[in-house]
Amino acid sequence: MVNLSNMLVSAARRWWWIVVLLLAWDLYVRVKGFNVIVLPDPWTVARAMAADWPTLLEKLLLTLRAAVLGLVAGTVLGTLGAILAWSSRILSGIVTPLAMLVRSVPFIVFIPILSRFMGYNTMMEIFVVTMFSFFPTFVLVSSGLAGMPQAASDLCLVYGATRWRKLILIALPAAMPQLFASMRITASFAVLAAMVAEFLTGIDGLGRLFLLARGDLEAERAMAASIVAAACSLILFNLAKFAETAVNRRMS
Amino acid sequence: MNTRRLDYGPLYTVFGLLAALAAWEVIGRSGVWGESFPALSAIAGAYDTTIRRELLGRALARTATSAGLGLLIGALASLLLVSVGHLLKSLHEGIDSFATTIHAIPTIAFGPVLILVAGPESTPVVLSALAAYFPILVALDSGLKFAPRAPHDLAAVLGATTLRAFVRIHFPAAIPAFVDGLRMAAPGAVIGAALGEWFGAPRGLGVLIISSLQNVRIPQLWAAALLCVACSLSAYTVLSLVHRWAHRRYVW
Repeated sequence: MVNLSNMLVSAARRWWWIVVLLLAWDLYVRVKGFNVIVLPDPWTVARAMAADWPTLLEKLLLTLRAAVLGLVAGTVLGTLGAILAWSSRILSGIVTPLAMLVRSVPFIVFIPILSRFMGYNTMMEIFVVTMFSFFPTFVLVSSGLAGMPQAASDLCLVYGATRWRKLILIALPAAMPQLFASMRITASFAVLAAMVAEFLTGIDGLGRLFLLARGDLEAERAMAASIVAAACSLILFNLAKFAETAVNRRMS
Repeated sequence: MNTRRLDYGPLYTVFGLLAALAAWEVIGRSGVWGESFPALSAIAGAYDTTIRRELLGRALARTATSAGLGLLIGALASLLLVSVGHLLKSLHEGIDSFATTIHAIPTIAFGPVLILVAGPESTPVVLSALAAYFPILVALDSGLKFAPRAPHDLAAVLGATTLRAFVRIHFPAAIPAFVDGLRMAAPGAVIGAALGEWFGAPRGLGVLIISSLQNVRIPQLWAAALLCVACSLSAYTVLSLVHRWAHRRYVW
């Protein structure tokens, strides 16, 4: 019983702002006297979600599939790229500063250009997410590989370990925290990138609902899609964060 | 060994950059990737008449203003949230979960709500602030947390109030971290502005990108996208210089 009330108190300390947000939203709609077409109140949106859930779920799964496939591809390729750069001093001299530069490029603006290359299809969407997750992974894993403990590096030298064994036994494990940190960063970006691609090109998924809802003046459906996207992104983010915490505990 | 790497580093970078640009020009001229991938010289052709230059210039001014305002608002909001969390400890946890949650939601999900509440003209600014605030907030928070111990103790001994200690000691010590956060937030601000423009703003680089795509004006499409990149990179560079100055001025 004490435990339960403790849990409630700690949940309230963390999540009180959700109640504030909902009440503010409701109050705003009431005070301004908007009707449902202009700005729906939270309860109308909740009803729209309840009525529409099969469609929302279907679209969510499409978006999620592209986001997760792209995320996995980007993380794997980014890690491989970082290993490649790590294995050659000249290559890392060329690539690493460029990757830092590329990291501050707003990639989203290239989605329309990519759609011209690859057509308006799911492959393009997955590719966009891959590209988005590649660079943060590359930069962070590179710094993780470079930051392996000096003592361990010396040990390899003394024992005459091959570069390959050094990579597998020491450098890669040392880069694990960075790998998972980059997944936490790219997880929420992946859903964003997938949805923007859908919104811009009309590929089926949650992002396309915004496009349709705008045309049909169905604000409550668009907002329902927003809430589903937000929830899904939060789940991905927290999964990645959970994995990161577990890995950090194991590796430190 | 180390100094030798430092000497050659910039050389590798410049070489890599030039090689990439030359490859771009050659591939574009050869036309192997089709007309969607024009040579750099062809993209420069998008600036060849005064009308075109003015078109791009106006769009750039619009987007840069939105992104700049968004960055400013994001910075002020972060400052407010972090200060309140720092001074009123009981709100700290809630503010933390609020900031993380909002950050984990894909920015595009706010689009439908903002277009209704803020209108198409202000949506780019608000989305830009939403996409930019998180790195600033994280940097500021850790800057405050890791303020030097000695002045803090001095303030306590001399009987300074919490507010006074914050204004005189903790905040100045966090300024370099704050600028660092601003620097990392710059690409996000540009992304937010472009996204906001795609939700129906009348002008801006984002609008130009979409209209160029629809009218198959490929060099103009690339020129607008590259201006977004230039916007983000120059903000990053300027803020890096400010960061260097702030580090010298405020870190002791």
